[in-house]
Amino acid sequence: MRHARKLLWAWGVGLVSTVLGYAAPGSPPADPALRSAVALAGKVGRFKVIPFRPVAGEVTLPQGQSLSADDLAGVQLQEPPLEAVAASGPSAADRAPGAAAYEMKGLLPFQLNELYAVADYGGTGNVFVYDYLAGHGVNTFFPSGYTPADRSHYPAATRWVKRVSLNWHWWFSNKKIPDGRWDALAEIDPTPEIAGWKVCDPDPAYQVLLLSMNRAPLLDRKALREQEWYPKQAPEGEQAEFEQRYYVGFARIYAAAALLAHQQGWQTVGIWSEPGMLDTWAPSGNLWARMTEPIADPETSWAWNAYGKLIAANVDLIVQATNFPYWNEAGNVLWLLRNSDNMAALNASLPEEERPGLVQIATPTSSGGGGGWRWWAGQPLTEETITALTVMPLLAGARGCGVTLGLDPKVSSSVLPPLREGLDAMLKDTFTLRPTGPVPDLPEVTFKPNDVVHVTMLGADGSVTFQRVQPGMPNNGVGDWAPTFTLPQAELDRHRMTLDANLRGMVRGLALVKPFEALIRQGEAKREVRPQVQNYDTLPIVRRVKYGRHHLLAAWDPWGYKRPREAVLRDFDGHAGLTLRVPADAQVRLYLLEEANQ
Amino acid sequence: MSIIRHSLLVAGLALLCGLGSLGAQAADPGLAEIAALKAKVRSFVPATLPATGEVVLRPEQGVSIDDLREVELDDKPPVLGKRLAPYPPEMADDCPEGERPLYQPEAIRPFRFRYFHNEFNVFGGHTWSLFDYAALHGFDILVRGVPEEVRSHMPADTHWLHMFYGPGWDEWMAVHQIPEGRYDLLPPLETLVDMLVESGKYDKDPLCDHLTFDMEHGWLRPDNLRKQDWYPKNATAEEQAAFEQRYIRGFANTLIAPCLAARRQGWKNLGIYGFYPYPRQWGGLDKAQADPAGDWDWNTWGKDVYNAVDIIYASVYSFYWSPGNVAYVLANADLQKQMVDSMPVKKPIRFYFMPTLHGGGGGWRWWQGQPIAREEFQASLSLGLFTGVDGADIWSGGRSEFCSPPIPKANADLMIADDFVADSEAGEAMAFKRYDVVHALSVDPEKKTVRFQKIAPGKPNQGVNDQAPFYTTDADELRSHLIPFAESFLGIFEGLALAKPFEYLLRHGEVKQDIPSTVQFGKGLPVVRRVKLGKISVIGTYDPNVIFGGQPRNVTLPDFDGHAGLTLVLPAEAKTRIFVVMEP
Repeated sequence: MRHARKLLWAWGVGLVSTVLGYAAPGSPPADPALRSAVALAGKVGRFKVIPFRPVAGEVTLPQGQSLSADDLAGVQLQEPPLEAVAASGPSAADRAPGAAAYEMKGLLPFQLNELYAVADYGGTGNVFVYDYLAGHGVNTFFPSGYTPADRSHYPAATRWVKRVSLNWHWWFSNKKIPDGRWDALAEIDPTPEIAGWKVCDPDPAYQVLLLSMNRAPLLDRKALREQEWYPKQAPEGEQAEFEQRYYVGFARIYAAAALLAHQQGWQTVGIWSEPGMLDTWAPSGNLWARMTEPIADPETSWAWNAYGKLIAANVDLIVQATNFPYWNEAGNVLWLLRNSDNMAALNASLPEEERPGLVQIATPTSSGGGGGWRWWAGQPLTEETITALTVMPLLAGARGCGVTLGLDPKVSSSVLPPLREGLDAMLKDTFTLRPTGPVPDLPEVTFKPNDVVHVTMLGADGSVTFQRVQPGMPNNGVGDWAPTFTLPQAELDRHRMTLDANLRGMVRGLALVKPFEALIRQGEAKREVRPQVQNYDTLPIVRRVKYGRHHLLAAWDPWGYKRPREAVLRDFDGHAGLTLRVPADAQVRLYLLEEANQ
Repeated sequence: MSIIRHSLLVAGLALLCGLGSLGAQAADPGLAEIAALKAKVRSFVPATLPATGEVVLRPEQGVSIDDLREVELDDKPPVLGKRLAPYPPEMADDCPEGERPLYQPEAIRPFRFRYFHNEFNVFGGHTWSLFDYAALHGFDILVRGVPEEVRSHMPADTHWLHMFYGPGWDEWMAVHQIPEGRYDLLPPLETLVDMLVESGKYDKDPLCDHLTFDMEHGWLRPDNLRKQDWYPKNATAEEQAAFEQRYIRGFANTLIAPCLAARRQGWKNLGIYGFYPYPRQWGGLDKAQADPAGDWDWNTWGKDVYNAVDIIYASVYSFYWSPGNVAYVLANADLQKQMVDSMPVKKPIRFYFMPTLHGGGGGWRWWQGQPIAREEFQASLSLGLFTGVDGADIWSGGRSEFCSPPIPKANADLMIADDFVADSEAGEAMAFKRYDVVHALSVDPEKKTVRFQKIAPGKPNQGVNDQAPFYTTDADELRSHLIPFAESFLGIFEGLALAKPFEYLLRHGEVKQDIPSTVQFGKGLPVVRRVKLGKISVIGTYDPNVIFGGQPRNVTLPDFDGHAGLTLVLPAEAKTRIFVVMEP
């Protein structure tokens, strides 16, 4: 394991040295982790490094000196510049740069190097999406219908993920052991079988091996003690020993596979989030009802101590994939931040070289969260939410960010699904329309970006009749009584948002992070206000990384208040009496602070 | 007696002549108010009292709600504008076409008060048409929860109330990692206010000019505080006193900080449901006395909270099915008023009503959730405005039966609306009367029948037992005899309408208690209230005995208004009546 870490470090440093021309850590006269961050102040006129004195008092950061993604159009984010990634595929010649909804106009090519920027999106129908992302931040791809060889024109430092599945049902079946009897694995080393499955064999085309377990569920202690095969009559000591074997045996399936993969030459081995992993080591609780659970405590987390740390200490990455059941911009981001905080707290109990990186990837659409008609099911999250989902977890200590979305591989998410009755369609722009019913002379209604309309009828004359979804109204504003609107179908289509449009939010977020990548990677995530508090008190979301005397802060106010707000950080960075006020608005903003010597 | 009646008639006529001339001159708004009513209600006879003797007023000399039907109550009645869009069926009345919703009393013309303020704080299904009606019948402050579709067409002088069900201190403290109930560990007041303001939840809603917090969290008085594990039992007396001070200040700050936060953000007209200068009382109310100088809570923290708010709410939820309810409402208002009157700045008090019986505790209580009787609400609302308050808030949510009686369901307790006779399963006839309650044991969906027993207070298990008669009847038939939830609202609107013609006098006059409401409560007397302005006394009466099966009683007021030898006798019955008498 230590060997693998060493290799990883060498690989990472080598990469940075190659691409950025930085000196290796330990040799700098000028601090390479700050070089691009400070240089940005010269490239973006408004952006400034903001000095502050660590003494009691109140400091309000000047919003005019913050950085938003809009500031980065036309700015060279990478030296030497990254070559543009050519569009590929059968109709590549037809594509003009800047034509797709997910593209940020004027953004020059760049790629993250020290942090993971992950795309697991779509399928071959989304080849152009991958091409654009490869040249605009993303450095790690799931194949998603391609092979690395297919995308050989991507930047050299691009990483490819090989996701393999280990079938533990087979293992138990072959061993003639009842499925899910993890206690058996405490005594039987599964490495030979894993090796036989060849899933951990070297594959130089890929840089990251991601282990996925096809397995029986892990039982919690209560359920375990209800099993027929639990030694109910045994003395307490024996029961405890049995339980330990059960959970250690479970951890072994990950640890053994990771160890084998490392031995086979894989430098980066990760696990895909599954039930029984982070959710049991550090339960986030039900974000949507209460959010009072404290940050995880490795001392008291039973699951972490029983098996979590045995797994975590043996892998390099934990890829936590999250999908969002509800339409809740702030809640979605805070959910990820809780996971980051929990993982950071747990990691702190491991020796530094054994701490896995948490890669937080999110589904960029809302899953719906239940049955029945839910207008938000399948709708793309707002672009700024995706930006925040990209930036904030990284400043909270996550090693990576990204998107994951399974789509019909042949369907492009740039293409609008055809209008049909019952379809809920998200709008991308502002327009005004007078209702055509249900009663005459109703006043005009203004539609805005991210509004959703519900199609009620398609006319034979090519018209479409629809209603505006109004959350909070009975049946969300859809019914015979509610105003109806009619447009030619083609005209409504012109106002509709494509599913992939919000990927621009990811690109914008990665662009924001890029100049600070080294600072983030080498700095330490700090937190003044916990996500639980930000959620309950509807506060602006703010996160911070400290590197030496520099502090990088990200601030965003997703709550829709009609006044400019500030995130208030009391006793900032442990300085008693120092209150930092960080202006936050609907755009994710970065502030770079430099602490004056006292 | 006949002589007295004769002289009274003369006196009445004399007053009438006087009212006529005064009305023409519009010199005295109180007299003008009486004259205006007299012009509209011919049977209404204000009486001039003799110096001594017994004066017996007849019911018809007063005004009941029936006298006000089809009467113009407001010379500038409120008018609804044009709707933005039709109401969704879930929120509109669900009455059959052409039928009047059951919350609308017959022929009460639109009106609003000039001198009182009433809050309509109702939410839930089928309430938007009810909102429209309330906005035209006595309520000028409406809860903000309704959407633009409802708000847009309200009368121009409508005010909006933001109901803030927060900040939820238990959860707030948990989120901020402060152990439950440890008010001593809260940040200082200024920091607390800053934190609340930062949340944005206290931002001024430009639409609203009233804000009510619902904060009902508890605290420990010193004797209980000292029993807590976390109390510094081994500290010095001085340290313990400082701890107790910190604790109670912390608790007070949980009430004060939201007000200061809201005020900083521009809110005015702040009130707290859950803060009472005199806590709502039922048990021992007959002997209750406000003691502003000696009340520990009031003097330790209550006054500070009082200073932080603008409106005082007097929660008068009725707990029980009891003839004491109206007197309880009035007595609690009186006690609250005495506390308020002890302060240099006297803040307006508004009743806080719920249209159903609260229940008053856990377990099965057949009366819990029953609609408050129409007659009782009529009395509480109209006579409530005789107590010196500013108005009332009606809070209700979750019930939506505004067009039909409840559907009988197993284990439901159902109140009877009208008299009928049913045979028991043993063949014995039983007369059921209005306000009887039956307990539905089961419902047969195939036969569409209900099996039930009659609630009999005082009997084993309230009459629901194997020894008591069982009845089985057609479910629809039983339903047709049930009181709908909406009946409470009839009483609410009628009560306000009844007070409307007297509002100037009630608001500007002096509250007089010929028989304290605590005594009326304790002795089960008929209810009487009076307000005096100049020589005019407006007197309201109500006898709760009647709907509980008793006979109507008179109210006798000896040495009326301090006039030795002058006795005033007023009738009291199930209908609230308002009389006007004038000193010679």
